[in-house]
Amino acid sequence: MGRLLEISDLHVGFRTEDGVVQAVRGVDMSIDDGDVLAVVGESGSGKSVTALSVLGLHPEGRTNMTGRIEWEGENLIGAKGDRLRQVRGGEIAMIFQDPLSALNPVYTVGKQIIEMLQSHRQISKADAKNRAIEMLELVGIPQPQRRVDNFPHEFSGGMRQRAMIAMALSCDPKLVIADEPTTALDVTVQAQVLELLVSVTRQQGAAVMLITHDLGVVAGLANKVAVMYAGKVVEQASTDELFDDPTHPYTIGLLRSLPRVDADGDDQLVPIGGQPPSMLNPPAGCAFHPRCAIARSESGCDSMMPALFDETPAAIVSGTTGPAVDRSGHGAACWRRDESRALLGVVGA
Amino acid sequence: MAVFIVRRLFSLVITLLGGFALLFILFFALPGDPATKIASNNGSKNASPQVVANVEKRLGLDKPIYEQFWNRLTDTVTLSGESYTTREPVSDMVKQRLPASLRLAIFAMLIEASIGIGSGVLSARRRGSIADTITTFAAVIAGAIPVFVLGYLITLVTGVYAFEHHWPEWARFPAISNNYDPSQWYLFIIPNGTQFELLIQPAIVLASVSTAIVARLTRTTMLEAQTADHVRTARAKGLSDKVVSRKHVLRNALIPVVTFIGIDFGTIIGFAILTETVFQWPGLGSKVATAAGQSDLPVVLALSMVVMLIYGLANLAVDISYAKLDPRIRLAGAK
Amino acid sequence: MTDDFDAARSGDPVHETPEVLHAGTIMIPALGLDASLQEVGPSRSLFQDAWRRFRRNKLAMFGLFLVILLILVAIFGPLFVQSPTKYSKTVFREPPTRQHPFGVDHRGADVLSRVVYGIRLSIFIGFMATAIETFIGVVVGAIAGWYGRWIDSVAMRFVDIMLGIPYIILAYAFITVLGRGVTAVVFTLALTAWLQTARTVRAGFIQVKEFEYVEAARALGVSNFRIMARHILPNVFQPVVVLMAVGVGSAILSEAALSFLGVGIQPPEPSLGLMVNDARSFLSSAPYLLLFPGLAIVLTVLGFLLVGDGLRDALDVKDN
Repeated sequence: MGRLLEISDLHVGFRTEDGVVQAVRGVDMSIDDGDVLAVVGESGSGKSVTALSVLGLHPEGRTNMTGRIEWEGENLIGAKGDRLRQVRGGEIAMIFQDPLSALNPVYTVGKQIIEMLQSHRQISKADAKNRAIEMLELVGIPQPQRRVDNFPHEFSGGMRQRAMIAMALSCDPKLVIADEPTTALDVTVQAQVLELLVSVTRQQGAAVMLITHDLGVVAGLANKVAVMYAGKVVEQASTDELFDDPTHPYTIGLLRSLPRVDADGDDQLVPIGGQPPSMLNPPAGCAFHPRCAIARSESGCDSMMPALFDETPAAIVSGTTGPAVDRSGHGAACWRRDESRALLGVVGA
Repeated sequence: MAVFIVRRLFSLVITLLGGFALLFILFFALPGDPATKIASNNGSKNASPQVVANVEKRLGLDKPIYEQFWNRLTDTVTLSGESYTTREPVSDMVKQRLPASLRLAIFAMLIEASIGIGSGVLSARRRGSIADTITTFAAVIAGAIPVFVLGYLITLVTGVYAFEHHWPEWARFPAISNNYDPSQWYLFIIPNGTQFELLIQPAIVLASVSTAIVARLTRTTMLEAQTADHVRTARAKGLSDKVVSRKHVLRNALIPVVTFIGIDFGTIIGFAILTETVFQWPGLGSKVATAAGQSDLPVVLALSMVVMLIYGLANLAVDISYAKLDPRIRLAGAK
Repeated sequence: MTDDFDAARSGDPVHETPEVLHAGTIMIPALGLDASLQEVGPSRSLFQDAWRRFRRNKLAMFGLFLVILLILVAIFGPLFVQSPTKYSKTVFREPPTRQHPFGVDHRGADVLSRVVYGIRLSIFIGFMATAIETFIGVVVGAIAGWYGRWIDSVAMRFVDIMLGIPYIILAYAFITVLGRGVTAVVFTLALTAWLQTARTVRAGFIQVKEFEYVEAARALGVSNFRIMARHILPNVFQPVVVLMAVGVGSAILSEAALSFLGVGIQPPEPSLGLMVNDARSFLSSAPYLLLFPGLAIVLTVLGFLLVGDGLRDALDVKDN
């Protein structure tokens, strides 16, 4: 299984009137062939920012982006304009949250797909149009020959997003990044579209990076999960492991707040108290500590930022690295990761 | 679409009738005895009752109001009226002056569109730069300078100053267009050299306020369009910056701008009066002004109706093209 | 389950009160990044916010400066200059000198004083006309927007007709009825300007009428008038204020235009537009006769337009 994308130590900050907002504060993530990676977090956790960073879609003037985003052996951060354009759409495609505003209202859907095809391939307009019709059919849009000449506002929400998916897949990308693709849709079609997205993409042989705030959708669709909070990945694991064996207090809190079909009637949904932190001025140490039930000073929760994989405080202070660690396993950025499950009463570990 | 057009034309006719009625009332029915006014040339000389009576008879002012209304209406629609004061047929006036007004308006629009859009786009692309600040500032000032002040100012510089200080030939412009000669225009809108000299100043002056508005409007719509979501999608598709700029930003940004320019055409035709007065350009506007001052009803009514008709048609054309430009718009009664 | 949280805290918790855990819910703020930004700084009222934004807009502040300056000139200027109708018997058409900083016009009057009085007159007319037209516009727009249906159709048809008539012609029409002079000009300007205000107010009413809290108020039986006044008017406030500021500027411009054409203020009253007209014949010999009044008009209109623009930007809630 090849490694497609590797994000290492990504930092993204935005310069604003009130100061620099550090939206992403050191993120590591990786995607392999055939993966469906779900990146989960609240608004403000930095998940969308991370996704946009891959293709370099932040406003140029105000963004500080450092780190390494490795694709096909080169770092996309700092890549040359031409190469970046080649990657965009041709190798990595992106799907956005609200298809009504993400598609240009004055051009037909067909035209927008054709435009993309023609910028990546030598292909005639007629052939491009046929391909567009093909793709629309693939995503389950009825009467594709007619609808290819329709404008975005003539589609229903779910159909529109399917059209976006079709457009994204039209140039055979190897990775599709979907930024909250169903959040703007009607609840009744959300599940459908999401399933379609994952199945069609995998059918075309591409991996998926799915950004979502809804941990619930993850279960049936993704094989890997990265949980983000305040600009960092706080827990990363395979889906099964995350649900069976959550380690980070935030993840545990999230899972507790999810309604579950198999829960007892008396189990209460327990919300996580407090509010997400200001990214202009994040808390020292672990960003979750003000809301964490088990945070304490002796463990360093309020002074030192924990990493996903084991590094003892002593090692950090002395600057030596710990033993080599398998970074694709189950990691949690919590100083009390060994005790958290017990402390928080997680059953069935 | 056809239904829409028919409806709008119908609506236009009603508006024109309403306007006609309003003007009739204001100019005619309300103020004092028009016959006396005309006979005494607006109070500049005393008129004997006999003269007044003659005037009344000649102009049909002794007939009851509704009959007069009907007469005026039919006269106006068929352009068969005659000026109260000079007895010049209205149709002649229209024939002479309408083309002049149209030419001036068309040129003003060309200036307005090219300079306005050009500077607006430039401003938006280089937001916050010196070019942006200067253009915005110039636009604001241009909107504040009254047309007639600007007109005289330009005349002062290019007409008077230039001659006095012996500027090069090409920089000197005649101050007043007494030499307007319609026969020297090709294809209706292309003037020859001398005619162009006469035209260019009033066109610039007439366009000044509109250009300022277009420039600022373009800047605003461009800035909005630049941050639209679909621009991000376009970039994510791998399109080059140039293509994104042209097809996804500019194209969307220009919709409101083109709409405005279209409507402005009608406004300019009606507004040109000040410019025409300053430069003595023989258009409809100045004629209406003089006629209105003299309560010369047939002229006022007929020329006003012509202007209103053009304005109404221009608006209709704009609405139709707007539907073509922005597919989201559904015309009422269409499709 | 909740007991376990309490039991879990063996060491010193970093935070003080345990209740913090149970209070509140997971906030999923609507705007992500912006939500966290909003935590910076205290909450402000609309006016303070608007004023802050206005202050930062340099052009708007410049406009405000101009307006204040000109108002001061209008109020106190006459104390410092001679009467605008005092005609010298000996001095005619003189360029600016120490005694006559703006020169002397063809009638022998001091240009500076005429400009000062002209500004005064312009501002007076501008304010009066705008006040009247705003009143008319708000009333008509409110009634049309609120009651809707045939009242609305009739009113809007009327407005459309009047708007279809070219402005100058309409102005001429009113002047014919009202005569000439200051009062006539004020009313002419007002009677042509209220159309835009009415349209805007009506649009605002139509928009707000559908809001739920208005429906609630209606259901509770609050009188129509009260609903209009307390709930809707504040919403229409912003565009009306902008229209007023811009309106003063355009009223001044229109007055100048009408006087220039000879149908506004009549001589010997000092109107800036009239002065420009007078200057026509003396362009080459006495350009100052054009420049000073022209400049005065430009600055006055510019000031109000800039303030209007600044208000529009400052009160625009959209950009938040």
